[in-house]
Amino acid sequence: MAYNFGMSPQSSSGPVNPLFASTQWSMIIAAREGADAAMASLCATYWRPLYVYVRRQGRSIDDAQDLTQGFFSHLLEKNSLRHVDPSLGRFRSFLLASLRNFLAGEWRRQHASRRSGGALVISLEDMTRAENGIAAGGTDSQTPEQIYERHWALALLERTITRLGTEFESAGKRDIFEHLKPFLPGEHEGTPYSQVAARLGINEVTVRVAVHRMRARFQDLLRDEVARTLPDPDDSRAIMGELRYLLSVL
Amino acid sequence: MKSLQCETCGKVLAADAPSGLCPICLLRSAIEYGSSQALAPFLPKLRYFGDYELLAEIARGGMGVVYRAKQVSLDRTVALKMMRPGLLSTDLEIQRFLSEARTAASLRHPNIVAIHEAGEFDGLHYFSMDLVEGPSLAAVVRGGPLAPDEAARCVQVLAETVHYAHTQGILHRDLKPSNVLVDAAGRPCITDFGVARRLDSDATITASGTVMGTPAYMPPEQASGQAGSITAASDVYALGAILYELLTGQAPFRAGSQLETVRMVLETEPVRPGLLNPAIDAAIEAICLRCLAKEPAKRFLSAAALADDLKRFLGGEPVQSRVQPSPSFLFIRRPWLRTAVCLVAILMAWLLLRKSSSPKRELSTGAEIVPAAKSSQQSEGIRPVEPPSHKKAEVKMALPVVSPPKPEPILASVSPGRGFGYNQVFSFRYPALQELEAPVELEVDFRDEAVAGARHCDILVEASTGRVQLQFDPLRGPALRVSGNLGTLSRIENSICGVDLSEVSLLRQANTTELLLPMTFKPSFDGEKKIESWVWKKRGVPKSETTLTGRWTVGPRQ
Repeated sequence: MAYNFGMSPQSSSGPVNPLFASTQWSMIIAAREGADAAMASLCATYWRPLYVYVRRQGRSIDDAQDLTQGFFSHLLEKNSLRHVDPSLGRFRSFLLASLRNFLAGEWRRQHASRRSGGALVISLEDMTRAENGIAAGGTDSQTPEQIYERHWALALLERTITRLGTEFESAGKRDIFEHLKPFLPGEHEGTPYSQVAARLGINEVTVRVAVHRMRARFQDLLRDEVARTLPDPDDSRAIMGELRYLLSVL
Repeated sequence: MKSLQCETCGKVLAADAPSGLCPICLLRSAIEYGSSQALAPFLPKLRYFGDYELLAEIARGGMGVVYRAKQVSLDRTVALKMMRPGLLSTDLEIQRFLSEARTAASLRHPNIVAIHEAGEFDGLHYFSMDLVEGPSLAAVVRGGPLAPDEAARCVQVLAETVHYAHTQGILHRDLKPSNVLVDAAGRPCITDFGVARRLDSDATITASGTVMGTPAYMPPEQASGQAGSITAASDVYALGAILYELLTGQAPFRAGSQLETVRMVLETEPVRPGLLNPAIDAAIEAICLRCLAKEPAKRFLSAAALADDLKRFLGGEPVQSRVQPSPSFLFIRRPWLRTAVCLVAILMAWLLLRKSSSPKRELSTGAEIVPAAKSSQQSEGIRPVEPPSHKKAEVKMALPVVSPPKPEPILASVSPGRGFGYNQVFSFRYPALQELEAPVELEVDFRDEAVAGARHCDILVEASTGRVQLQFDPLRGPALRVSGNLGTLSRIENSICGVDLSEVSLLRQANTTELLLPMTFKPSFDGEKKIESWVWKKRGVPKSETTLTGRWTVGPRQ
């Protein structure tokens, strides 16, 4: 059973922008012009930190769902995004600030039910995970903002792993990816490389090289994901700073 | 809900861990990877470098930076190694670099990273080569030792590759795990063949200006600075060190300081691999230890012989290497074989003595040339192949024919201090040189007491020919070495001082000979220095009675 966050997609009037926009900001601009796929991608990645924030504010599950959905609809409204300016800084900060504004504004609540733009479908599985995360993850001493940022970091990692998996899949190597994935965080005492080599029918050196390359690719993708949320995606120092900050909130 | 632990850091994984993986480890590794990339202020300024477009930084070492680059004219992706500015400062060094690049470029082998071109752009020296997108063996073995079969297979390929280069007259001289890259198919590729041998990529520069390389994979004859006696067996040693590390997960010699490591290389036997990893059987251990023998003559006579023995091991056949139960004795079961070995040893020793009375060493612009042994013992079928632009070279197989003969201990004195400030003349006195047959060899250490580490200077004087050789920092390689006849040399320089060789003079008096060495110290080397010098008695062991110490000050405080 799926929760529908929005009505069925309406055809957009503007030019369709590519899904893989260079920054999340340009995704918003694309969304402004009605590219539903871009917005759907945005929402699918970042709904959980926002949802968790709303829940941590003390709202019930039902309320939180409504509000999160409403917020995304609000984002999709062309009017509301007209004044969005990338120089506002990091995307995660912008999103949270916008959410706060949204929650605070009474009149926005009334418009929460207005649907526009694409459908955001969150599966029951994802919802359950979010709720479990809320129950198990945060401690009471963490502010909603801290919890939001923690989940933002997790969402970022999740998205990166998914992208990596998709790359392997399109090369027909899904199976290999599943075997190598446990080695992504680093060396460990668990399954030795020789076992993996035996299972995959290749020699151990090749397995190790594959793990090394996979890690390098993951790290490139992660930096790319982070870069997309910053005002200047080419600022390496800012990317490193953001990575360090996200590590600190975990 | 089952609570899982991260297998890398041990922390308990929360229920929302992405794909069941530890988020902290994931982020941490990305941060380390990013930091090691030394996110380059360099890169945007130099995006277009001659015919190349620099795309990303791949690696960074003491000698420079490696980039992934697009060669615009040919529209292909290559690796571009850009030398750190100032590393090649004298014309001599530049000439050597270019001709070695040319020599290395003549190598064509699937397991050698091919060099395309070398040159200079905007004052920066570079060379371009195949791009191998993959980790080095050093990174691969960080994940733990390899199974003996895998290690043997890998080193077999490397040995065959190195042997090919030897047949082309080219030694590598700097083989180590970080110089072997592995591509996605698991194929090892050797880089830096003969090109950067003196520019050790792991060199670090300390505050006092000391530069040292990594001696852990160097054979004793190289680690002690005897560049003239590096032969094919030296590369075999390095292959053995690589095999050792693949089998055990660690280098054969590893100590707290570079100096300590060199001492171990010269004096200590490596821990037997079988003791470190029980999966290693006696045969592969024997092969490995044979490569690591201190005496080059005890190692495999060629890299091909090493490859053959590894092939035998992999095929389950008996290997030719024998297990040595104790370091100094050859354990041979059959008495007739033992006698034969003794005879061979005597024969070799005789040849060695014969050879040593007329050392002939030439400085060439190509790969180091070692005079051929007139009667070659081995029937390895090594044909010397003449590289087009160099003198005829024959790569020596194992017989250490041209090691400089070690002098008997003699009284020598060194005194600094004529002159002042930055320009000082050092005086080295010996008994009248005409009476000596063997060359005199001195090593001088300039030691800065505030910081650990020393700068070394090797001075070799041949009385009969008037030939002088000076070498700074022998561990860093022969780059800072100049030799020739007095009066024809110009200048040798490193980061702490320069020696104006045209001013070096040899004063012969009745009983003594004095070598005067004018040195100009650079302001970066300011301060109180302690100078130590000694005469080599035999390889690696200075005679303590001839150690001299003195103090002097560099700089305006004088």
